[in-house]
Amino acid sequence: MPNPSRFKFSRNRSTSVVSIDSGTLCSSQMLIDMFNKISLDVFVIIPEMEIKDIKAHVDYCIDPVERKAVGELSRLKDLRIGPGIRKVAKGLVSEDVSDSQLIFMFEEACQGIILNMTREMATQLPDNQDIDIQIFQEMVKANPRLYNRCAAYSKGSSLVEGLDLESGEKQC
Amino acid sequence: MLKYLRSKVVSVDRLTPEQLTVFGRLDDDLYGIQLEAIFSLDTLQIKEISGKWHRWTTPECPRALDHLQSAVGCSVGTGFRDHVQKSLGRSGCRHFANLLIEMGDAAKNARLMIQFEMAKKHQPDLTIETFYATTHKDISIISETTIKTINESESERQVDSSIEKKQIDKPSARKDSNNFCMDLHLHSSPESPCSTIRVYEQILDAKNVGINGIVLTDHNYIWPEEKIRELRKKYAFTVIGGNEITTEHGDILVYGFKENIKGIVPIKKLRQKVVDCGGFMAAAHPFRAFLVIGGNQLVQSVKDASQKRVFEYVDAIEIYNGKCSEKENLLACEVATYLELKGIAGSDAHEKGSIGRFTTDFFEPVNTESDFLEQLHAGSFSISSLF
Repeated sequence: MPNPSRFKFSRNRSTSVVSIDSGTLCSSQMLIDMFNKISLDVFVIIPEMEIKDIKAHVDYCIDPVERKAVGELSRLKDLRIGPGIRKVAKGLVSEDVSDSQLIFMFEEACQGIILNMTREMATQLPDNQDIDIQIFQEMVKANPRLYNRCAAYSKGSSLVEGLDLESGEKQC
Repeated sequence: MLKYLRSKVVSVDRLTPEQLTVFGRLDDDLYGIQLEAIFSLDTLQIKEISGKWHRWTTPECPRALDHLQSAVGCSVGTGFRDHVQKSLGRSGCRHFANLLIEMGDAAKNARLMIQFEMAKKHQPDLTIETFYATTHKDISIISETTIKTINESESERQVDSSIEKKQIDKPSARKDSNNFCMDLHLHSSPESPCSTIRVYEQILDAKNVGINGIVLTDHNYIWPEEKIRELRKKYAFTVIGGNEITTEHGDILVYGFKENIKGIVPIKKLRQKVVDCGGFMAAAHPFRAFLVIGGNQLVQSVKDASQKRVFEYVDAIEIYNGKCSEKENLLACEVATYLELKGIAGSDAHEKGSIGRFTTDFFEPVNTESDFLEQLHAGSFSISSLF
């Protein structure tokens, strides 16, 4: 394998979710690469999943639209994190801002809140290599939208074997 | 206290003059994955891709590796994000898709950096900001590489003890009903990009399952009146034009309102317009949540759930939606009862075989939109299910 030339582009992006108090989570996004250093905090009321506040800071960026986007984040307050939030968020900010890195970071921060919930649920599963398949089958039966959403829950997988789930594949 | 942490690290090397080799690593408490992809420098087309799992949530997650090759041939640019989400994300793993989209964005930025360095050789005082503003104004760093989350969950519910428990009637099974059964929520292709069924197929499906009429509720799309009349005549079937409009408080099923709304409309403004024309609004799937999640942390009482602002602006709640889980529908039912709002039902069908899962059954025949709106406003209907 050839040794890389001096050229290298690097990026780190992190999402962290912190519990502020019993009813509030803060999801923070940090992006640093050769063109951007931006941070964003989204404060979310639980269990309503409503966005209480959003703060952002741009240390540097090559696209001035990022600084403009900071001023438009207040339009996303009070939104509920749920399906379709990306579409709603992009529709609420002005068109030139809707494809900005900062709006993308907002989406990722919201995703962090959801993944935190997933993690909490996952911790309730037995912590061993041979988890009973039935646990996952019950999960799909309770929530048929899981079916065909990824390889693990599609035809041929043991997680859906024997389940009658042919409808409910899509929704918007 | 830290509850969750995800890190994504992407690095791009130029191992050959014509190619970029992009390494990506995604790591959090649930998933640990890595990808390596080779992009052509000129078109940013994916030439090769390979991946590896380090941590997963189900024993079948590794099956997603088989789907990585669906990304080969795809170029960063228009349609990249959608293609990766729909092919790799849906059939493989959305976390692989998430990482690959990030890698595509990094590759695009790497190419920009290479172009800048080339330009700088001829203009040593050139800054990246000036270069970007003057030469690459058209490059939107993230425009084609944003990530659509397909995570959804199911919210739990807890009946507040302070609320009198009311008996929520499950929809009755539809057997030889004398009512006029209508599916009030469905999507056709190509009018709704997310649908895979043509309108005539919806009508034939509806006839097959024995319902009497449908309302076309495509996303922010108004069916022309003449087309509706044509469908009614051709298939001798009741077809009404409706709409599913996105507001800042979620999707709203709107009936009897003909303005073609684009984008996100403030719900207050929409309400005023719909009231002015005698239309009818229902909150669509108000408690549909993300997949997978749904532990106890989202337990919400009926009283709390009823506080959602959307309910101040609607005539009804969609209490049975064919794409919602039983618990999500049950919470919608309880909230409608608590708020004394009407409850309607629909399949939210997007594909063959889904129509009629739940229907709204009118006490009198519906032949025209006026018949439909009159009975909706009067609450002259009940709910039933196909099963």
